[in-house]
Amino acid sequence: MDWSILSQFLLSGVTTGCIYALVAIGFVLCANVSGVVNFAQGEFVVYGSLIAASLVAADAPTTLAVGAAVAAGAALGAAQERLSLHPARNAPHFILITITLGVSVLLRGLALIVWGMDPIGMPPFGGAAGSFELLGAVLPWQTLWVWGLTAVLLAGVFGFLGYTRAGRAVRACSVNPYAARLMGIDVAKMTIFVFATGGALGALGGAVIAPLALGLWSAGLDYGLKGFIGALLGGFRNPAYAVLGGLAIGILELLAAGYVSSGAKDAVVYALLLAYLLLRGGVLSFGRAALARA
Amino acid sequence: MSINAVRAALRGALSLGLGIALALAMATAAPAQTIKIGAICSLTGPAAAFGKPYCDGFEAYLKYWNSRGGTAGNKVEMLVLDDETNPVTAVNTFRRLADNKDVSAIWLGISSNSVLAIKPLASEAKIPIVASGAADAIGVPPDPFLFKVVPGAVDFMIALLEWAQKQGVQTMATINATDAYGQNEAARMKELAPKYGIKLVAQESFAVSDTNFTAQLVRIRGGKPDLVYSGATGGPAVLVFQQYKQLGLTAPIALSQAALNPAFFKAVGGLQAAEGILSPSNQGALGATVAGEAGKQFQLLVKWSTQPPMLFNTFGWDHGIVTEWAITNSDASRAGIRAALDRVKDIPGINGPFNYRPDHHVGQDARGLRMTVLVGGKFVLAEKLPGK
Repeated sequence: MDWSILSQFLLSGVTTGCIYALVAIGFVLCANVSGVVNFAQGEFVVYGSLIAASLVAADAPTTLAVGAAVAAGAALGAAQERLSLHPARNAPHFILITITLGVSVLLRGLALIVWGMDPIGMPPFGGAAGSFELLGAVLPWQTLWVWGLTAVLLAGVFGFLGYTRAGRAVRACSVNPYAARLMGIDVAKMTIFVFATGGALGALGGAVIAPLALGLWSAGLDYGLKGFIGALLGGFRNPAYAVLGGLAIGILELLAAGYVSSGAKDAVVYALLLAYLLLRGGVLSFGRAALARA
Repeated sequence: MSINAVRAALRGALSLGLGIALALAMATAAPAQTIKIGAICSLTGPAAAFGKPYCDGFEAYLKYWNSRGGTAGNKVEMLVLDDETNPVTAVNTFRRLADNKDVSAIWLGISSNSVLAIKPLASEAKIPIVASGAADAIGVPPDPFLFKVVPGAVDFMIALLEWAQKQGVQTMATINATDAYGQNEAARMKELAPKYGIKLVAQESFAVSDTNFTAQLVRIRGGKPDLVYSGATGGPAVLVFQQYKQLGLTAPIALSQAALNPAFFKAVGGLQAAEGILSPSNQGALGATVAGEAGKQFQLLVKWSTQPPMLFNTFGWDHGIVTEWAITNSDASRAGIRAALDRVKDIPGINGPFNYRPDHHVGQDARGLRMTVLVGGKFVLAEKLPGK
């Protein structure tokens, strides 16, 4: 067995998996606080990469471009909650979830109109073109940015949830929104906050992956679906498990394409997901554990 | 002589005179007749990028055609309508042209989707159509009234393999999307490669939404091919090419002609970043550097065109060549032109010779394709494998 090939697959898989992980966290946060699975999550990644790439193409500095992308992602997330979900807050959950699907289609269409069909490239952060070698794998320098920023961000999210008053409030909302409200927590505000966070996380993922994956209007569906599966693998409760789920999907994809067949890649990933869900006893039997402290 | 006889004689003379006058009028009207060709081009919308140059090619050919007196003294006229890059509009404009009894034939300079929307109506309208579009489904299965001009996907594979064989290539690898177009290419490649003595060491595929091609490219690298063909277009074309370089693959890589648009070069970081890539292309892209009749026709296009020539002008010009032949060799009626088109055999065009048979409605073939290589920001005829 050629170990350098295995490490190539694993390390490359982690890079894509990082983006799935950021999307998965967004899913878990929104779902636990508002009860809504936000299927527009993947579109935030697309907007992040398109905004960052087009700003850099217009000669803006990278930091500004990434900052603008993250801000736009947060604004989009908050706007989505305020404009599409809040007005329908008394509708059953499956209606709300359908609304998020509608929003994702709308956002995708808007991206097509604004940015067009052609993919937009972006130079690597800090102009660090070229690659480095790690455990026999060849990786572009941008990979380090993806890993690093994802790690910093995850640490931030976990620190926030675990060790701040506001984080505790978010967790309280996920345990019991009514009790949380009685304790003086503004659940509506918390809901906007988690949607904005989901948007910002996705957009940052998009901005940091843009030099490796381009900005493309249609990519949101894939990021959304893979992130969703990652969150599902993690039980949809615990952000840390969701991250592991996202990373696992990224790695699995590459292993399946590399060792089984590239044509059957998605089939392998989905078959494994099905097997996992069946073994766990079905999606509905996860129980009502609280949003974990991570 | 009675008055009645005089009247009868006068009446006779009058009717004779009228008859002669009528005959004279008809005789003088005949040379003033025009042959009308309807053209549907994408003049607005995304497909205008090629629809407009297509139309310029039509116009240039028309000028050249009329400069030689048209066909049998009849001038040729063109009625141009815009499909706005919309298949629905394409169908509506097609109906308008087909309903106009003065229109003898129709040229299409529109996207494959729009041509395919028109295809089911062709036999109903019974008007000969000479059509643009790269999709194989335009010509296969053949519709009796629809004649596709440019070579199909299989011809590009043949051109690639023929060239590779000539360069002594023994092993190749391919990477294609899992969509119908990609898998069609992959299947043709698998079927044809052994005929050219070439072994396929890897045939990889990917979903069009993929962004990470590490696994596929590592497998290709493991097979150590002499030449790699990427059938990817759009985003995947850029990413496959970038990750190919990142993973240190050094075999020459050929890309589908459809991938090489301005957006591709912008995304990979300019023309210089893509130096050395190969692409099987329609020889019209090489212009007057192609020897023989094709080069001569190209020079005529340059002479009669008001625009700087580009590939899609040459397709428009080729529509003209084959249509003029069919009109000259028929009674210029719709049915006559259609029947004549079915007899087209080795009529030379800029992008290679045309052949139509009732069971074969793809006009040009691999003979009109050339392997090109990007050198110093320009695609030129590839004489050898880059790096050899």
